[in-house]
Amino acid sequence: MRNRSLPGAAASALIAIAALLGFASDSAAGAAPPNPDVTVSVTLPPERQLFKDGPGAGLARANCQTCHSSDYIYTQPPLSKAQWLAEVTKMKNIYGAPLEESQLEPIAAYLVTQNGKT
Amino acid sequence: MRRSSFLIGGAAASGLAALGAGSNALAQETITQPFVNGSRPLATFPQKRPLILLTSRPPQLETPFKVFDEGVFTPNDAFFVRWHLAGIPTSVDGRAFRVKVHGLVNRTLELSVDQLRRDFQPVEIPAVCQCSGNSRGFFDPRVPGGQWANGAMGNARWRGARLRDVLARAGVKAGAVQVRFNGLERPVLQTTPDFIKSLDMDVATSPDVLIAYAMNDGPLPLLNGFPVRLVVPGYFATYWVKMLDDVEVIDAVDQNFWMKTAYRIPAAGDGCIKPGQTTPTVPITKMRVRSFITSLADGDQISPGSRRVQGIAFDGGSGIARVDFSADGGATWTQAALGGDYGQYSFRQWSSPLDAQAGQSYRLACRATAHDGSVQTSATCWTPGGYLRNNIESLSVHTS
Ligand code: HEC
Repeated sequence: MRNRSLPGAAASALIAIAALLGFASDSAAGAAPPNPDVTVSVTLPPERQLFKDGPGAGLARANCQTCHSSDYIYTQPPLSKAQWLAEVTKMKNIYGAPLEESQLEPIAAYLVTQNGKT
Repeated sequence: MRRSSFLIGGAAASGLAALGAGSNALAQETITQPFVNGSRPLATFPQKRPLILLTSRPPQLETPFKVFDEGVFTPNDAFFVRWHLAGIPTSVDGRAFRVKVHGLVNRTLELSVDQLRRDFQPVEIPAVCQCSGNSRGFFDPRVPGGQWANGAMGNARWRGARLRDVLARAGVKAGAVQVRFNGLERPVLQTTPDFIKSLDMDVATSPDVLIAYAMNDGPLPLLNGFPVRLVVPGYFATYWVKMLDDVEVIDAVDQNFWMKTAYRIPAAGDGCIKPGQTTPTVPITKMRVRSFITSLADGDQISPGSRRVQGIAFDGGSGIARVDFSADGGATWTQAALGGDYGQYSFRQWSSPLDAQAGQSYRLACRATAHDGSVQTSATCWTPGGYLRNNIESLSVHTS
């Protein structure tokens, strides 16, 4: 196991994992049977809280990170107000975000200050 | 190797593996994808080396492109991750897990992973798994969705039972139209449509569709669908349902959201349209022919002299017939040498000589031709969903 090259921080943890799961210890040892007879438990890293203060931030924090992390919003290309309104409306109508009609515009107005274009 | 001695004591004996995210899971290091809002942290998720973080919850992780130069197969710990819904179990018991086969069948089955391994002929297929939205960040104009560069793909040797053998065991009744697949992934709120995908009967019963329990000789990482996922060689990854626990034979074309509304491409012609056009749509299915340079990146400084430029190519399952390489931005082409052939669904490595003079810039490009005759062109495909990009890719390198 020692001569496997794994990148820095992950190396020691992954070697332990590899042993526990019975991963083939290298690709040449291809005959090793896969071993799904274990319980695999993971701890996912914490998410980033990206919504910055500003008018409408409270609405976004309350409604736009229930189903997914806020990086969904910030990794999009800059969108116009109309495009953000379309996104917010899609969240309500298609994915069932519990939003009032009256909240759609204020959230879109906030999002365009965060990741917008004119 | 001493692996067996590791497996005797402790956690392995009790059949429990607890995998932490590591203390510095969200590393400080960031990379910048070559499009607006392309700044991304590198993050270490369980069973993964540091990958490009697109989103945390649910996790979406992109493979750093230089990994594709390491070899024809993408290591499990570098394989991209893409979930739709944040209700993913963080603990999965590989022994208690069952795949239920039901619907229009004579016998409902509840198969353990062990039964899948022992009761059905094991089949191994090297195949590319590519997200439908791979390369979406390069669309012009940009479209909303996961903003991937080119690393939402990977090539692995998938081992499993043929879906058609499993269906035969259940006995498909007359009137079957599609097979519908669901996994353990669940919506956070009940109002969000569950992630379900369906394949026509002829695709589902083709010999290459697998319920895979192994990936490159190891178990699937949890984030890639442990303990089993559907493998549909040649098709985009949207059909490769992870943590697959439900297979239902249905008597009509599936009307669920992820088939009827999402993951669709324009029906006419090659599926590419002008921005703003609206057209009837069909579900996305097969991948298009693509190729990439892997041994050099855009903007690289190289030393003068001769070297081989290396890359990969793949298509939707006919296999790569040839790759051509250009060092002058596509003005002239030379046929590249192809690497080992791992089957028609796999990456095919290629290489071509480059004789670089001092003080020059070179625009390098590659163009793949598949056995079905399809060939990459310089025309960019635009689709409303950000799918199907497969134009000739190019990059510039400079000599000192
Ligand atoms: C009820 C759950 C839910 C809520 C609440 C929700 N979303 Fe989403 N959102 C989703 C789902 C599901 C997806 C992605 C599906 C996929 O991976 O294809 C998504 C994707 C997105 C995307 C990526 C682009 C796209 O269209 O897929 C953006 C941007 C986004 N959401 C913004 C928001 C904003 C802004 C809010 C707050 C108004 C919000 N979401 C609230 C469920 C939700």
